[in-house]
Amino acid sequence: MMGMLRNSRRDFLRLIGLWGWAFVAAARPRSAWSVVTRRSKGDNLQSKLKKLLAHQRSAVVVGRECLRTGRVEAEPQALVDSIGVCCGRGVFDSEGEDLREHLRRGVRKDFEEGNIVEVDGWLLSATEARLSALAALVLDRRSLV
Amino acid sequence: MVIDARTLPHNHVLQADICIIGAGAAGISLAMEFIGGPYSVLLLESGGVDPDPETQSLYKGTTVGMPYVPLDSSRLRYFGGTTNHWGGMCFPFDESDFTKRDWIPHSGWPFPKSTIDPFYKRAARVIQLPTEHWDSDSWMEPDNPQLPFVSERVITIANQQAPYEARRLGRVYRDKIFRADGITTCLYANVTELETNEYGTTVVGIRGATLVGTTFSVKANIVVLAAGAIENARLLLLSNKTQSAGLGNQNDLVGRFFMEIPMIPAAIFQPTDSRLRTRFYGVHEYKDSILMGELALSRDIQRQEKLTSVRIGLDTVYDKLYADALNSKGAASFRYLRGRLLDGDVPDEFGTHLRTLIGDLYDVAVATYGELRFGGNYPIDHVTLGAGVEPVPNRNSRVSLASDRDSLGQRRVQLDWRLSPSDKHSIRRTAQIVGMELGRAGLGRVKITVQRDFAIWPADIGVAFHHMGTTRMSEHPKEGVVDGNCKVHGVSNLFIAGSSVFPTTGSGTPTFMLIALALRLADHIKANT
Repeated sequence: MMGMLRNSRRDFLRLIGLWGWAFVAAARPRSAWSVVTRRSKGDNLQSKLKKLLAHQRSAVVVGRECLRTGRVEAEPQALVDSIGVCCGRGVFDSEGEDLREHLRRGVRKDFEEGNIVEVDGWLLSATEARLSALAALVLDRRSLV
Repeated sequence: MVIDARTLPHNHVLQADICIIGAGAAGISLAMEFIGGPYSVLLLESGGVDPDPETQSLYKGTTVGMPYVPLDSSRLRYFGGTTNHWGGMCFPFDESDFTKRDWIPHSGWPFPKSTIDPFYKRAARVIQLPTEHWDSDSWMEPDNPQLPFVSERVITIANQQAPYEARRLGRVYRDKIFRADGITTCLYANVTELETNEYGTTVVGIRGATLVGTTFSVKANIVVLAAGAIENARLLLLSNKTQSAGLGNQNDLVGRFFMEIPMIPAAIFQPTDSRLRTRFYGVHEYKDSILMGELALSRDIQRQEKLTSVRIGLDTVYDKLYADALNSKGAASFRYLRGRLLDGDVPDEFGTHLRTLIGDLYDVAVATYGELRFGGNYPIDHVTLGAGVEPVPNRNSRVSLASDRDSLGQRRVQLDWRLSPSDKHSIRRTAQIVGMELGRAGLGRVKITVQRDFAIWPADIGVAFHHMGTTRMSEHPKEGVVDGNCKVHGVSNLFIAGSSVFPTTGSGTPTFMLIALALRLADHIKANT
């Protein structure tokens, strides 16, 4: 499995850097997360994901692995719906800090309730995994940095 | 008094009220309790006060089943026994360790924790632990905080380490024991057999031999086997004149249920913040104590998940830049010279260290910068989570007699160490729950490295040299070799001291517990003779 997910640790480190800072470092407003704190003006999911994800490429790599293992839904709408179940319906109607706070709560709740997805050994909250999968499905690969 | 068995006349007979076989942690702790009392005590030790290869080779044996370290390197056969390489880590068993846990076959001790608590206090004095505080709340260190979990599913355990000089019980107590009235220590005395009456119900003699070819025997009213979990079983199995299966082995239990703590890397923890403080989980000093934290699941979670006790140790790997610099010879020389010079002392090897330092200036500069900038709290690359598990008692994990013989003509031992799939499951699930709680607390993410195939163990499995369970304790003869007072079932005057009596390995550390049990046995003997 390790071979299938190349640069696994680097991608997970980035993801951890992303989500870790994002969801739990509310007391650190000037953290790495601050790169996406500009208020979102776009309303569509793609735009929101781009702004949400500091390391889109890493999220996509992880998301592809989540999809490959079949541990998350394979359709964007189903992923959005499942994220909504955990983080609140209409979570993607919110933006900026509100959106992040919804997701933070969802991740905490996932870990609390054992809603985890094991990808290449890494324990991700189901919300993290679904967001990554969503990134893999929705983001235009050519726009990835 | 101390005597050398090699100087005794051939077939000499020694006599005592109490004969203790083995001068390790259990035997020494027990013997000390009889100093100044009305009993004559004979303490038999196979080795001398220092190690010697010929005596040590008596510990050789074969290993089948799970790979294991050579049997003559995991234990030491001279005065002080295996405490001569003991790491000194101590933590008491908790309440649940003594209870019958329905999901763990053969679990449960014959008494509750409250029975052993007073003896833990006394054991702490034997090994010179500065305090008896075991709850992690007693160790809230401002500079080395414990990980801030947001629930009580995962807890921090604060082990205390016995001071280095106190761990070698042979060195600490030999003068006191050798000079004590009423205690005779007989060195180089190898016990070869326990002789019983014709019914096998009373030990009437002990046969012994030396490596110079002489033999001796012992007459004692009470006999205590304290030779370690492998040797205790071996001696009982060798004592088969009246009971062909071995003394105390009428229910085929002697040597079975051998337990050891398997240790494997369980996970990698990637902290969200590279400056997360994890030093509490390394060996460190605080006030007068030496401490080392570990992680474990709460008892409620263990019960819910039907797991055995798993301890997770944290091995922090610092950022490579600083790790390399800190481990460099130049930085080591710099630290050494700085320490000596600050003490006003110019060491003889000053020039050598200075040359090393100058030749490695880059690493010295990086290490010094790191020390000044981070105050020793260097950026973390990752943390390896290593797990040690309480194995489920396994009847097929056993010590038996091999066909080959040692230089005294005695059959050597064969160890067939076995683990159960549930042991590995406990490790994996514990690592998973720890990972979830680290994620929940926002401390980082965890990668589980324990494979899902629970029947297969990694080849580089680590062990703790903690041998337990071969003469397990139970009030029922069909479940145990000894009763709750450590007396061998069916033999009126034979007791066993040491970790061989443990029915389960528990969540505490074995040496601390076996010393407490030895002290309890001493009280029992005093009260009943």
